[in-house]
This record gives sequence, structure tokens and C-alpha cells, in this order.
Amino acid sequence: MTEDERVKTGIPGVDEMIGGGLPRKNVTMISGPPGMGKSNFALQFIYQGAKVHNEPGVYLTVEDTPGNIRKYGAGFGWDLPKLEEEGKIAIVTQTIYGGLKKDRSKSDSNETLNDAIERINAKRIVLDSVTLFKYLFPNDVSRRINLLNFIDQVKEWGCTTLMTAEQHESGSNVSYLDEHFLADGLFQIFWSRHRDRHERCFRVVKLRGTDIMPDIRPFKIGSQGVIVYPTQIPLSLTED
Amino acid sequence: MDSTNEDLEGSKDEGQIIVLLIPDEEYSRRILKITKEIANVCDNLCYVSLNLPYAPLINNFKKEGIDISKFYVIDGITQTAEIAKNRDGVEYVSSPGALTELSLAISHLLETRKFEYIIFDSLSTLLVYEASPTVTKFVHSLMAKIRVVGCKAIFTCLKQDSSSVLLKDVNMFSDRILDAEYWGRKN
Repeated sequence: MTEDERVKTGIPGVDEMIGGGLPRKNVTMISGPPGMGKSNFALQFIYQGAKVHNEPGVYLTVEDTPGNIRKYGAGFGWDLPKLEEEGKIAIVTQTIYGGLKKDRSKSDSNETLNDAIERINAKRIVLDSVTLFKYLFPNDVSRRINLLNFIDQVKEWGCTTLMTAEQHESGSNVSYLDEHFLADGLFQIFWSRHRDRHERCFRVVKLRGTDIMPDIRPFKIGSQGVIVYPTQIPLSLTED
Repeated sequence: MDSTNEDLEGSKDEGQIIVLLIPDEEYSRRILKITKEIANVCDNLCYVSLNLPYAPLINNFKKEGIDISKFYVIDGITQTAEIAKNRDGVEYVSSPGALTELSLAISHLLETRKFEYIIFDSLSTLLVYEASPTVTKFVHSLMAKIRVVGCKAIFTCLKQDSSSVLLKDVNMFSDRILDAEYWGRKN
């Protein structure tokens, strides 16, 4: 796979573990327990894409408000409203109680995900999160069909997609969810506990078409975003 | 020059990684002497302190006549007692047992600050907080990183820990394990 066929995640350390970046047009899922930083990974993917790699992106949130998303970005020094004004980022909200709409901060519009993608010529999409997205549909069959349709659709749009998913298990004892099998790639983040300490850990479970580094590595959420450390052993996982 | 002192000289010149065994009852005095000796011939040093918080450590350095402007300190102890405020010349790690955090802090500084010398004080403190296999893994990884950047280092250890499993393992990773007793008396 050539470098042009890889999409830089914009998350330091991750690309080194996945052969240089996500395969273009792939759908990758990042799963982990609440509070781990899944949305931070996803937002950084969109922000860095727009800011550094000239790839406009749409952030579709199912569980939060665009205003909050902008605040999270500002916490890392990311000026998301400016990128929205420049047409490089769009934040679309689809609550489980209403339809698709896009918030342009000044006033809500009825712009759909599809419209936002076309308007900014998006190359990246985030769906945050699949877990709540599923509740938009009445039963398991409908959820699975709609998720598959969503995945097919974003691939047709030519976008590289990152989806977040809640996963309550941690460590290596993971029971995989349906959506894990639908995605091309799967990243897992979890807490590693050692005595009185907890460390954030990152693992690439799968990424189709890529020779991945499957080892568990530590990551931090710092003042400028998420950093994964591909050359650092998480020492909390060493058995006494 | 006695043999141990020659070894210390060698460690300054040859990129060696040395584990220095220091008698328990004289540890504080001797580590200061050794630090001063190294600071006299190096200008860019990193001191990893797992025993003394930054403020008393620097006070001790000043009393000993050590030029503190040559040092960048990684302080692994202050944050166990208080929330430390950011200041120049020091980076705080949450605990001597936070080995991943400590390793990341040292690695980052090794890459960015191009130290000539690291004084790691001490392996014995690590053993208070962590089991030997974890400490061994940490030290092995850290020594590899130090070699990659071509830095020199001394890892101090209480002499009473010289028979520990850790020291037997570290013997493989380091260039030498030295007894500092004679050097300390002479100086």
C-alpha cells in the first residue's frame, strides 16, 4: 500500500503502529470504557486532518452537543470554530430523540450528514458513538442493517471513517461486539491497573490490509491531545 | 588514582553505564560527592531523584558547591506529598513507582535535551515501590534508551541491595557494577 493510500491519523504514535496510517476509505472503530478518551482520539483525527493534512472532516455526534465538542477542542488549543468557518470541519448532531441536523454555532440548520459531507468535500468522518447510534433503530436486525448501510455509504462517499464504541470490559478479557466485526479496523483502549495506579493503554486489534504492531502501548491525554507511545512498554502490565 | 576512581573517570569518558553500590549509612554524603565530581567535568546533566524532593535536593547541591545550572531534575517524590507547581529545570513524576511515567519522562528528555550524563538516584528506592521483575524490565528498557542516545549514566544502589535479584539481572545490562566505598573514603 502506497503512502497516498494511507490516511495519517494525526495522533502521534498511532501511525507507526499501523504501517503509516489508516487505509484510505477504511472504517475503523475505537472502543473502550467510558472516560477513556475515545472522543478525544476521534476529534483529534478530524482536527489534525483538517488542520495539517488538508482533509476536511465531519464529526457526527450522537451523544453530545456541538458546543461541547468545540469546548473539548478548545481544551487542547484547537480552534474548531475557525475551521468550521473555513469549511474544513462540520459538526453534525443526531440525537436519539431527533433527526439529523448540523449546528453552525450561530444557529442550528437542518443540514444533514450527507449535505455536510458534500458541502465541505469531506475526506474524513467520525461517528461518535456507534453505541448510541444503535438506539436510533428498534431492534438488533434493524441496527445491524443500518450500521452496515452507514459503513457502505461512507465508503461510497470516499471517506475514511473512525467510529467510537462503548466497551465495558477491559484488559485482554474482551468479548467482542457485533460492530467490531463490521469495521475494517479495531483499536481498543483500556485501563491497566497495577496496585494503586492506573495507566491508559492502547492496542491495535485489527486493521485489514495492514501489518499491525499488535503490542499494548501506553497513551496519554496531554495538553495538546492524545499521544501514543509505540516504543514504551506499559510497565503496569508486568507481572510481579 | 584508585581503581574505582579510574572506573568513574572511565564512565565519564567512554559512554558507560555504571551501577554504583554505596554504603547505606553514608549514602547521602557520598551521592553528593559523586554528583559534584561528575558536575565538575560535565555541563549538561540529568538528575533523577526518587529520594529527595526538588527543593531540598537543590539546597544540598548548593551547600556542596555544585553548580545547579548544569542540572535538569526529574523529581519522582514531591508529588507524593503535594501538588507541585511547574518550574524551570525540573519535571515532576507522580511517584517513584510510576515506572511508565518515569520512563516516558526520561526518554523525552534524553531526546530533547541531549544530556551528557544521567545520575539515577536510586535503584534501591525503586525496589521499595515495585517488585524486582518490574524494576528489572524498567531498568533494562531505560539503559537501552540511554545507550541509543550515547549518554553516560550512573545508577546508584544501596550496598545492602547488592545481593538482590535486581542487581544480578542488571549486571547483564550495565557495563560495570562498582563498589563506591573506597572512592568515597578517599574523597
